Amino acid sequence: MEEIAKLTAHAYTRRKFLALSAAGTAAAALAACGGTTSAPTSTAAATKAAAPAATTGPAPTATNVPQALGVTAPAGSATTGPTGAATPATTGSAVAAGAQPTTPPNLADKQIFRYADIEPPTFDPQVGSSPFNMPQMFEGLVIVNWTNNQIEPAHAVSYQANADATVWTFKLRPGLKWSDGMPLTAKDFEYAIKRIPDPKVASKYSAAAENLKNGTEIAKGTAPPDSLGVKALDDSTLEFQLVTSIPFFPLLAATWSYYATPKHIIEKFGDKWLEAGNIVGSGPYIMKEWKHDQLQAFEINPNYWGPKPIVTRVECHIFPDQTVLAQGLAAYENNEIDTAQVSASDYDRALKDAKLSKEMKGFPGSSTFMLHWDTTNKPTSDVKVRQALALGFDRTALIDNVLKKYYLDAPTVLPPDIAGYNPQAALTGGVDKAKQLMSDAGFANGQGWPADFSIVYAANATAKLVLEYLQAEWKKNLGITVNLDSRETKAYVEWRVSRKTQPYTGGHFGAWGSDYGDPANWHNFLFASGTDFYNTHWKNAEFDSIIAKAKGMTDKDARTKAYQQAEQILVTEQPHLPLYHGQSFFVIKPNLQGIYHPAILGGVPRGRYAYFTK
Amino acid sequence: MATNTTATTTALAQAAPIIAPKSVSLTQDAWRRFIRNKAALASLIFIGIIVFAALFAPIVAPYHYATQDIKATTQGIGSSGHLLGTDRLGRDILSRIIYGTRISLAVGLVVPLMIVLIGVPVGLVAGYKGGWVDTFSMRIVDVFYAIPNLLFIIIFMTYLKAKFQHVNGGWLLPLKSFDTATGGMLGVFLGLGLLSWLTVSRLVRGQVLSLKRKEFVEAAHCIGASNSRIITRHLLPNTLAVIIVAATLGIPAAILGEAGISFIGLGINPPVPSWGLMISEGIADLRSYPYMLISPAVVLSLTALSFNFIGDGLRDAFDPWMKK
Repeated sequence: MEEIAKLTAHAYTRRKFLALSAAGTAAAALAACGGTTSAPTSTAAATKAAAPAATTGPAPTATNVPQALGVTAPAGSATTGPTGAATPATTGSAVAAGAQPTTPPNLADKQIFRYADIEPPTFDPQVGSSPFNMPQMFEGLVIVNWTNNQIEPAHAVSYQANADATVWTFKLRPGLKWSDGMPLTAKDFEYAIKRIPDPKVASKYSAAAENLKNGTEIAKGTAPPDSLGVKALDDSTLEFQLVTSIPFFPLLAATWSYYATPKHIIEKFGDKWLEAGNIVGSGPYIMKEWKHDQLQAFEINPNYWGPKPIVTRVECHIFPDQTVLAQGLAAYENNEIDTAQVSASDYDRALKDAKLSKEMKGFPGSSTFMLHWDTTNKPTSDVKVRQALALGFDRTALIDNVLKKYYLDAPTVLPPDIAGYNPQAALTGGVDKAKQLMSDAGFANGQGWPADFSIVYAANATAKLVLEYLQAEWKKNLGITVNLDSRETKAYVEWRVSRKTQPYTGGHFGAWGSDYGDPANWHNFLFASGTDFYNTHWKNAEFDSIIAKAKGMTDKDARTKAYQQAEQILVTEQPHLPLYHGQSFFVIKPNLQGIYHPAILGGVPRGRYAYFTK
Repeated sequence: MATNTTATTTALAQAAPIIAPKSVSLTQDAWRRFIRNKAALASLIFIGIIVFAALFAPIVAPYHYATQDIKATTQGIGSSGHLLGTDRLGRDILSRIIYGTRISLAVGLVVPLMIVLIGVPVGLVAGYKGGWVDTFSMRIVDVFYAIPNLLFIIIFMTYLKAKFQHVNGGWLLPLKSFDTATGGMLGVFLGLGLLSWLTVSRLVRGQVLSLKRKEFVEAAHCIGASNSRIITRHLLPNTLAVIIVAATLGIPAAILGEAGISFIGLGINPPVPSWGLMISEGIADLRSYPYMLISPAVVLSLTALSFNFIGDGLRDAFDPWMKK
């Protein structure tokens, strides 16, 4: 998920997490962990206060994505991948997904859960590029259970992949209903998923269907929407035909784009189907109120298949984009909401405050903030220059003094929770090496450095701070002058998109947060020369071939090694300069439990896990 | 008898010396009235300090505005070595405020100058000539008046930034170099000046309209003075009071305008400190480190206030109807 700097270390983390809180989207990457049940990162975290910096929990480990789930056939049958590295998790079909395992004791009488967020640009799962509050009232075939970080059946009761993971078959639970009582079948899922690339629906995230057959063609308009590689074989069987072998497909099926949406309501109300009173979903809650720009409120859906949540009413208090974090924290201190995110600006105040520091918890993230260079235009076309820029500043001071440890250092690109994370690949040598590289490249002491070298960024307080620090460091250590060019967010995005065919002298600043826990969402989606999301014009044949092969590998160990190799090339060539990894801090009322913020898509808390004790 | 007359004359002369009233020019009279206005005087002294700080900033300021002391970030007011504290990058706030006087004064001088250089001739000619010249100019002024100020500045600054990006040669290059060297000042001057001259032109035109019917203009016309001579020698000096006051009041408007556009990120480029930029940096930390916002805000307010008082004082000083 793209982190536009505007989304502020503030709203960025907000939006990103919002974007990512799809019903159970990949919590973490596929690491060769073989069925680990890592403790929920959030509750394990929770160390803060006394220490000068709040520490976050242990880095999340990968969610194991089995090739088959819930099938009653014995494990090791032909349904598992040829490598057998995937261990089918559970074979039971009646696992209640996404809920507390047992009813907690000592519950308070009033269970109303309130939190803060921004107004969602859209609440339609197939249209939005961020999930926001969708997981409260929509759900997909599978879910990543936040309490134990496992892929679990949701609307589907089981799934199976064929031998090379190109065809996936999901079997739906019997008796599924929409919140208005109408029956929910596989045909509803087919309808919903076919909306993703449909040009008439105009999704902001039509790329979510690119892994399905004809997904990209439909989005381009060269194929009819009906030809998408998803079909309801009967009322309770759904089959996906993928473009290539994708062993982690269930992580994608758990994202918000694959939520079920009601055909009968959409056709009846058109664009107005999302308003309170019209809207219908199949998640644990129904949206009862939506006062735009003020409040979105949800109450329990009696027709939900799963266990009844403890919280009876979920209220999302809406604040303006730019000030949501500051206002959210103020509302929290006023007891108007029960949990809030702490922005980088408020972080050290919260640490010093007696009450806030006790209530603040750190949660690991899965994102990287980076600079992107034009690799075909001087001076950044020379890899020595790029490496010199990467080494020419004090990283420790940046993290400790400028960012006050709100973020984590990122010497390499992939975040720690993504397979292929390779800290050994980091460049070494420090400022002295940087000086030497610069003079080798012909810019000793900044002589000959172009006067219009600029870094473009979307205006945002933390970005400005970091870039000004870099500007001063590079001047001090390398003698070069770097201009900072701030733009309004929309203008920055347009500028970046237009760089596809235009050169630029300098670079730009942007961040990325995982949409799902797999390196394909980074290397293949962002950095491959064919996609080049950040328009660095970088082409490396070796990198491209490694990641093309690695994407479809079913052997987890080989796959991880391949991506580590690719990461090594990426970090050495430095088309992107990784600066820091994101993490987040939330304050939570002491009597509120069950708040999780997984590293991926975990920005918005979910009512289904929360509960208040007395 | 002769000696007697001389003695008498001398005696007479000594007895009743004729005291001719000392002639006072307009400026001297205005100055005297000005200093009697306490607020204006205090403001003048304050602005004098600001001007001194701007001229001698490298000597007066304890640090350079871009020097970062990473080990001493977010120090409060009164901490060792930093009288007004440091910001998140360890830059001394007092030094940045001192260097910021340069930006504010530069804007405060250049923009009103532009206003006067454009607005006054337009007003003079339109008022004196009348007829279609007057109608034409004033309708143009009306059209410009209709454009929302802030919107125009935003569009203009954005356009200028985009334009300068692609400039590599030609006549725009020296402009671009000047702009980059000063941290974006050219853009600020143009952006603020292009719409601010309207009020002055109307004021001057109004003044000219009331003056041109007066007898001395008629007299000058009669003895054959050309139009340009009448305008420059007779009308202009009489509108000077209005012009000076408008220009002086235009200074705080320009300073606040620059602070405003730097606040939204379209003005001066960091790390060059402008008070508006410092205020926008301080807002994000308002609850954690309020001093970052308060210091530049106080200085900005005092400066704008001082210029306002000076403008008021000048207007009163030049006003012939005011009681002494």
